[in-house]
Amino acid sequence: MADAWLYNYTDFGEGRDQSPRPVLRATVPVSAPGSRRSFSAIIDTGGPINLVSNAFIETATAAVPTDERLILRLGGRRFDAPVVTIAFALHPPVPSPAAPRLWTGLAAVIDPWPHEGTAVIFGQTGFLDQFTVTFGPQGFTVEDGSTFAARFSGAPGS
Amino acid sequence: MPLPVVLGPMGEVVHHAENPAVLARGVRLYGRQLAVENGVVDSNGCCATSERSRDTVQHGCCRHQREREASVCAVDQLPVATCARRHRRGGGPAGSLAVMIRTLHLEAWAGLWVALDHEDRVVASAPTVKDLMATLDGHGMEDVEIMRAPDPNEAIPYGLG
Repeated sequence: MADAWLYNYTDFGEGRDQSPRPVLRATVPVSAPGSRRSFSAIIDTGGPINLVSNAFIETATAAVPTDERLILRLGGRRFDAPVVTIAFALHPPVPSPAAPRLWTGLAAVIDPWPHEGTAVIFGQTGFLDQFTVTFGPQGFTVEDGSTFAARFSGAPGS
Repeated sequence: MPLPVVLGPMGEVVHHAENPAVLARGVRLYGRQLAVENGVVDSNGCCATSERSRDTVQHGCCRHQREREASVCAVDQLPVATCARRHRRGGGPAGSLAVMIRTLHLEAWAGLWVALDHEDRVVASAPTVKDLMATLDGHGMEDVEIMRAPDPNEAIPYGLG
């Protein structure tokens, strides 16, 4: 991923005609490596770790359990979630012909999945520690994790 | 179907609504906005015939200019530079980046899990992800993106906690 991948915000239609403003989500398509079925994953900068549903785990052949568990609250419920190491494939924005970006990161497995809009949530550990993500008013970009240091090292305040 | 929208000074969509009353509320709230484009500009901030925005603006124009290297807009048959000016609304400066919104129209599948193709068309749906995967397996469907279609009347989740 030498170039920045520029993504649209997604309006799933939440609250359409209730609010005059579209509800926009920062989502990226992600799959297990090699899979041609991706899930729409929401980037949650307030999330401590990637979350995946069992539905996603079932598509991943290389999910490796760790001995770690996390107590998490999601959708108003408490979960004792096992943490796995899992391989992901981040797909470029359409219509880019670039190959998916592969990486391996931690994720907590939530079952049953309470969130209604997606089956994967990207948080700090496992995603934001891997990529440089820049949110703007018009869209957002995903770049290599090293981009941030290269761009800002030596900057005032660093 | 294109949604009526109100555009901000940089061409960003600040409101969209099919309901004229909701749209009017937005106009009052953002009374200084420059344009109300009823059915002319869709919620992609692009031209009326652009129903999706996945590739909006990444080309410097609308999705109709599908090839970056294209010199003529596929829709208007005009030079790209002209096309870009025609399709970009809101008075943003030349070369500015308009808002990029991928607008999905999933109301007919509210509450269901859906699989979308590259044109954001629903090719399969089911009440659960497991059922959806079984459907996809049964039909050998690949190259899809999976998500849940929200019910527009549901409360909007704030954050994910």
